[in-house]
Amino acid sequence: MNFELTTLAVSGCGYLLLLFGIAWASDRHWIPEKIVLHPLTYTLSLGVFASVWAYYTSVGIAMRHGYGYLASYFGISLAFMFAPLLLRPLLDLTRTHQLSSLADLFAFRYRSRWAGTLVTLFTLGAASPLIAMQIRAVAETALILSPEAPYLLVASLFCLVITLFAILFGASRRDGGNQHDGLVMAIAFESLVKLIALLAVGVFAINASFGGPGPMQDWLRDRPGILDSLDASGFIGPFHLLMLLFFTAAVAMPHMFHATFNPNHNLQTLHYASWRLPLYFLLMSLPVLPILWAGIESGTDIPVEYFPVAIGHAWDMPWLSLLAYLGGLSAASGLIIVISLALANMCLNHLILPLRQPAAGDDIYRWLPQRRRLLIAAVIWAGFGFHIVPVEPISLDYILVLVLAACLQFLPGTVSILYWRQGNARGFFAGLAGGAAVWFWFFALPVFREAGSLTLESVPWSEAAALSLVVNAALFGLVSLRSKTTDAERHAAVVCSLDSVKRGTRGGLMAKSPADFIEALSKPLGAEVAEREVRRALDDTELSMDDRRPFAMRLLRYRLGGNLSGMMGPSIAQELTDRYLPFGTGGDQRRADVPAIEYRIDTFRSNLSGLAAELDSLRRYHRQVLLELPLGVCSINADREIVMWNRALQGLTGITPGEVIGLTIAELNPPWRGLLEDFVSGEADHLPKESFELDGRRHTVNLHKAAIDEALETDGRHEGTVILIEDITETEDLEAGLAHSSRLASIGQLAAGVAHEIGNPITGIACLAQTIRDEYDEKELRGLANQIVEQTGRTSRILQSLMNFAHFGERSTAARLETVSVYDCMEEARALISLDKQAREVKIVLDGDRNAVIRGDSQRLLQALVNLISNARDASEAGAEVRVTCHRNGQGIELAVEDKGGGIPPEIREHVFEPFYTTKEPGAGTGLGLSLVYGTVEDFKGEIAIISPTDREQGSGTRVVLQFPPATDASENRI
Amino acid sequence: MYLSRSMLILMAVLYLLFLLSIDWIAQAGAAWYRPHLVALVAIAAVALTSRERESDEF
Repeated sequence: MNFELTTLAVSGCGYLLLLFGIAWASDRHWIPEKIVLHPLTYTLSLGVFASVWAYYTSVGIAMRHGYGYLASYFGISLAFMFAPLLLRPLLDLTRTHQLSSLADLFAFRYRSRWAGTLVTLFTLGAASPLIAMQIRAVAETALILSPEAPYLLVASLFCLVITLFAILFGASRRDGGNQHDGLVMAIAFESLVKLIALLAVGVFAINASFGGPGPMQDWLRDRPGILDSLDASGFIGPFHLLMLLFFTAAVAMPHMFHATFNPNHNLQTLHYASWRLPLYFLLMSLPVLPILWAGIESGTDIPVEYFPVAIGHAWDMPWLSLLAYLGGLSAASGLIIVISLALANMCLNHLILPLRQPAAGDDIYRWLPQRRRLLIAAVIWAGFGFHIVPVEPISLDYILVLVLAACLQFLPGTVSILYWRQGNARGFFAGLAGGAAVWFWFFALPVFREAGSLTLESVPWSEAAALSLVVNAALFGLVSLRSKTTDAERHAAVVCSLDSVKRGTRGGLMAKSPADFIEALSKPLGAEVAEREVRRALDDTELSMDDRRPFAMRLLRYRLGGNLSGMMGPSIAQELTDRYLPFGTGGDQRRADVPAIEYRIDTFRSNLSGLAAELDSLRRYHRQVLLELPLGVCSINADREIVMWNRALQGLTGITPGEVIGLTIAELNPPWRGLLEDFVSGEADHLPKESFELDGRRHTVNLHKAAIDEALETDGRHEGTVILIEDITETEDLEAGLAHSSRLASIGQLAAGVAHEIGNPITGIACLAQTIRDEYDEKELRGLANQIVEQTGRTSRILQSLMNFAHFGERSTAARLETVSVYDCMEEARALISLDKQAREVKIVLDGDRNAVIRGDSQRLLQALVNLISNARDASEAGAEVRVTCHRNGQGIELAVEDKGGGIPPEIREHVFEPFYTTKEPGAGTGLGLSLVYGTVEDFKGEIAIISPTDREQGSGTRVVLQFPPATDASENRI
Repeated sequence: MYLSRSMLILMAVLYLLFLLSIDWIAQAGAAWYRPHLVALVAIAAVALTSRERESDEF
């Protein structure tokens, strides 16, 4: 059954419109981001590789070489299964340096614009037949389903729609559409459609053609010739080579490079695809043989490559034919779209921009996409032109091998990027020229020379491909070893090679700030573009416009170079940065840029494994030790740029490492600038007790320094200096406090001695005064004597208190703990206080647990209570209430004395327990009362707290709380 | 270092598996999908080592 051309056109265009819709919806975020950015979407988008060769050509190869057809699936699968060999390190390189094609990669590695140009031209020449193959497959299958359809019209219509799609969704971004999520989503959908279509045809082939898997096996058993033809043992050599061709294609084919090294995806997505993509290809390969046998069984005269379409056609199942046709359309359109985008980028970066760059006044964001659109159209229509040129038909499998053998010529250069630092541009050119010559002789020339149909059997393709590879690799190696490698190439080789730590250099840039960058780049790019690109690089590196650190400026240049490379290719980017953002003459470029190395190692940390990962862990551990060291550590390099600033130093200075790393010490704020500059410049390696003012407070630090010897340097040069800053401010304060306490203790002992000595004369004075009072009748004299007796009594009490305080420790150590009834002490204290009739009248209220007991000394507790209640009384108004309470709580016994007086001002609260500290009128208090209370509570292993004010609204009232441990502990501890 | 030890061992084992499986696949009257079974085993092995590497690295 045949189709009307309009049916095919409508269904084909409808399907492509559906792709438009998916891409459109993804770009507008109508499809959830978790689907669009899912690793499975990325994996399916890599299915773009399974183009017409997987859909149609593999059936033909299976017919001729049996299991040999699997070599293509295995080859591409191995590239992903062993991604750490090639794909993963290349992904790192492309992401870091924003390289969007193999031409970019070669131009970057071999530091040659010509490398990019040659690779682009060669790829362009090789890819045109591949595009032609897709167009031809679509047009020929259309012709099978609708024999009256005009071939050229179908092919032109297909090209037109695909060109529109590629232009609309591929070239709208300034970076070449690399980050076009909609396109990735559409390609992933296409991969799914062709898989479903091929599986559906396969299932139909087994069930409808043979009646199930069992009958199919019986059918095969009846035809031993077919089973024997599957044996690929005679195909082992070509099988290996075909695998190698497809393995290389994973990197060397422009559309695969474009899809695999998509900057939107990372190492994890590649990891995700490492076995899921091989599974996808396995599923694609599964229905090939049943389709082949079903086609043979149907007896169709349609070429074997188109059996997927022919089966439905032969068994009169139009829907199956249409589904198979759409699957083929999907496979072809996906490849054309992606390869045209990739080639357009390559042509723009390596053919157009080297010849003509946009003027500074041009809007580069419009200029680049416009040229890219033209190039996309040119690439697709060049493929169209190629497919109508050959007079004699060329088999699809020949075209495929022709293209793959061309791409094989990039293998030595690619391997050298990662694994051979000695490789240089001359070697690369020589190898490419030699390999290309062999390829041209054996593969390209027969296209023009052969009369009649050209198939794989027409040429010794496997031997020719192997020969081209050997010639290429040999020339590459020989010429590289015998020719001179430039410094730039050597540097690029180190940057690209696998075991490189990517040691950056530390030369100072002429541009000292982001503003200087903008000014410098305004000349080639225009002010607006320069500012946008600098701001974009600042965002990427999380730096600010005000940053002027030399390290930050180098990082900015590095990132800017990468971004420009993504936009204009590495050659132009390199030229722009070298010319407009040059390094100055200052600094020593031979020395390592430690922060840059650390930044890069941290960025690529997930790539490290085995010994490298363990060494990195060790490095991080040592670094962490320095960072967490409770001493301030600051490390500076030979140019006095700060390389390390640890947490202790951050705590001391209030300056974070992010603010200071990369600054020179001369750029620090005072007082650190002067302090560190003087110390680093000075002779002394140790500087004790350096004092300075910081935030109104005096700080004291000890400084130590040591030179860091440069690794592997024997000329005595130093890599830098490490400075230890020991903050001894608190130690100084403690020492001052201790000295003060010692002075107080001495004064106390002195006072006790003085009190003892004064006591005897005072007693004598008192005796004499009493004698005068008692022996003489003169009233006035007796009055005076009485006053002398009162004053001497008072003096004696003060002296007694003083001696009690001074001898407190001696007495308390001799005392023993006993069980003391707290309430009894409270009552006794109230009674004693009440005896003083001259004092202010207050109401002393007792409340609490009458059975509360503690372990202590009753006399000392009584003394403490008397002191506390006296203070409370003195602070209270006449007639006010003073509450004395005791309660049990979870921690033991809480004894509290509370008044409603004026409270204790905050500024004196911390001094109230100090000896001789009093706020009372001179003579009214000794300043020892609360000190005695504090000593008593300490000796009873209790705690004391003052809550003041108790009434926050009024700001009045004081509550002194004594917390004692419970008396259950019967141990006879001395106090 | 991108190549872990498990990856290197896997490469050697898979190549041996490929060589050994050729005769098994080519046996007379064998099921036609035997190569696909071999490929499935290889993919499963990669999936297993891939999981191991994921836990190491991410």
